[in-house]
Amino acid sequence: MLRILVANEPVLARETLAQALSALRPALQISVVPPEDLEAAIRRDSPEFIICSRACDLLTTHVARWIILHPDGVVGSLIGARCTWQFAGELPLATILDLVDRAARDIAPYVSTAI
Amino acid sequence: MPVIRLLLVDDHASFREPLAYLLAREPDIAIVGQVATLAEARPLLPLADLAVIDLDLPDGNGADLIAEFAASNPHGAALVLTGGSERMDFARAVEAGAVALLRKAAPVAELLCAIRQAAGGGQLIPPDEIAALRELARQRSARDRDERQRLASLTPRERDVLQGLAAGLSDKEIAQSLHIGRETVRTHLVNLMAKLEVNSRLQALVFALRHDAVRLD
Repeated sequence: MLRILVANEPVLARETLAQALSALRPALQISVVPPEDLEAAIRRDSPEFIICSRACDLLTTHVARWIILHPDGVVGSLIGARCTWQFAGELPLATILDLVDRAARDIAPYVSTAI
Repeated sequence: MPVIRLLLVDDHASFREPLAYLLAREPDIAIVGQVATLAEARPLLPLADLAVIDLDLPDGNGADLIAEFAASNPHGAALVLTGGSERMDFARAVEAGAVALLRKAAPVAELLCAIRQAAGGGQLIPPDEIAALRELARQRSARDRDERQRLASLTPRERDVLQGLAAGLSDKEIAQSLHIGRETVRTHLVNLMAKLEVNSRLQALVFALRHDAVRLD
């Protein structure tokens, strides 16, 4: 099962995105942490997919797929797979779901096998 | 149970769309539209009982939309939901008729509570805060009026020189483009800075930009 960590700012954006993802993709394991706890959560839980709004070095070394929404308040987002990334514009919910689904397809089987 | 017909206006799709999805799951809320701009929101205003509006939008300030909503729908209520915390923006929104000011740092439960209270006719901003924000808006409005009067006192030539500053031209280049001498350009600059009550060319330019008195090509 793909484990997603939602850590973007502000609180309302974080809560709404996490709740919507939980409702739309109930099979996934979604947890929420405030941005200041992101690094500790990555080390502790090793999530495969992270949605946040601050660049954190551990994203490129420890996380298979990630999205930074509005980094430093910039309009748009960064979509990454470990140490490679691309700038994307404003991400609609459908695109976020698509990225999550692709990650679940690509990564989750290996996670299951490893366990 | 009466249903709240809600319009959501926010330019961040990654925030707006999940929020619209969650709100639509509430039994007493129907989303009549969720859009990113003032232009997209305008045709939907008559359909809404309640508008949840961000202030910092790509094509203008949400306060303008609140004023239009209040004018077109006297029984409607506007709730500001913003990531910013500029009191002047809040003042404009209150002046336009907002009944609630909520920051995006609030949890979902607080937003739902505010939506229901506002839709029920509640005024969620304390009276002393409304008075303080209205006074702030009044002061800003008086300052804007005064500054526009100062701009209006510029001669056409002084405006041309100001436009030259906006284009990043030197005194010599401005003089050439206007077919006048460099000393004349400097005289115009001294005069226009005195009229605008600013101390530098840069301040004059910012002053002009604030009031859309120059074009940035």
